[in-house]
Amino acid sequence: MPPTTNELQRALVLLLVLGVFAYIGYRRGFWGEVLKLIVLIVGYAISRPELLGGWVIRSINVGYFLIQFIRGGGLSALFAEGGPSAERLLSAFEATGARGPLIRAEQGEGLLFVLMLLLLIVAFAMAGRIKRKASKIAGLLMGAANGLVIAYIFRPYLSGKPLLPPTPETAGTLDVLSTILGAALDVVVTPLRWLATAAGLWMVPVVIVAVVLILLRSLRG
Amino acid sequence: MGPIEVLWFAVVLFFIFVALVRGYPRELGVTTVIFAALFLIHFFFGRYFDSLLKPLLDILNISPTARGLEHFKASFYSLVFLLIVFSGYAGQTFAFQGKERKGTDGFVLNLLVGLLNGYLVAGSLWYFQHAFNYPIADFKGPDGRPLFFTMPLSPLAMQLVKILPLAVVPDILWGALLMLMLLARVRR
Repeated sequence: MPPTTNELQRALVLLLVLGVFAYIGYRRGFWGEVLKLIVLIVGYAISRPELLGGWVIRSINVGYFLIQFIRGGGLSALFAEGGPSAERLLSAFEATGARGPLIRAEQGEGLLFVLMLLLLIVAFAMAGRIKRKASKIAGLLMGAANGLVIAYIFRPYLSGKPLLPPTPETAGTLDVLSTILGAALDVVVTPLRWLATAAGLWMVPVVIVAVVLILLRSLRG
Repeated sequence: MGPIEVLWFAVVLFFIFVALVRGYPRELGVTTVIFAALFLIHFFFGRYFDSLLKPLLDILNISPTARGLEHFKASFYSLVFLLIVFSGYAGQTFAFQGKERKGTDGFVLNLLVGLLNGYLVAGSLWYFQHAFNYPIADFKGPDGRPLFFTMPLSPLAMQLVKILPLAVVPDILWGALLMLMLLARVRR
């Protein structure tokens, strides 16, 4: 089956993402990329309610309830002179309960996404400060791995919806853009499936060329 | 024997070991020879083999069965390919000049070239079987079990078949890669 233009686009866009991150890894070194990968994985787990996300939201809400409880006179009711006052405690609980949780279920996903973004920004800033020396090739490979994980993480948030409403004037341009974007996002359903299926047949020759170029450039003198 | 993909992985593994021992400057010479073989087979044989074979069979007055012809073609392609690849290892080799990197970098590069060569060789041999309906699967032992691999293909094998080198790489790219390698070799 000959590779199609669509597959070529998918392969090239994904390769571009991998290439950029591999280059960053090559320049910044291995250890910074390891830190990034760890934060990426933790960030991803936090962004998913079924993994760490649900626990994070619950913890924030519990913390918020505690603060409200204290502010509503809960602590002073507990340690009141002559023993805890049941009446004041009850009113503190009522006041806390009336406020409701800080993060509601429908807000959870958006907040977790922002939290993940913050984590990634901090990780990227910290990675640049790590000066420990290591193999540049290892940095390149780790950077490419980070690119693959990032492409995988961000896919659900960019689910191929059109960026602009198509009009007859812009239809042609939007078609091209949406084809490229859609193809780029489709291809990273999961890194392993991408490797195992024929989603990116053009990736094979592109990877062969890339490996050959890396090997040729690695010869000294 | 087990599934064909196990055999395939074993051949790839073998090439990785060879590359780790020989080093990537030498293995790049083999890669060049493999590119030449694939270009030759894909470009020339793919176009002209059948039209040359038919008059030859007429002259020799041989009329093989369809399956016999598949056996012959798969064996011929595999043999020519292996002979060319072997020439990359034997005698005066086509090794690239230059010092190889040491340590982790060197190891990773050796691994890469081993993987590449293994994928190209094992993948091409598999493709010759696939293109001619797995004639080698006809060979069975005295107990009636297949000598080389079992058929039908497993789901994993069916996925792998789609990414074999000759299935996905256009013939002109083998030529381009060959030119690139020759240029890089001459520049050094």
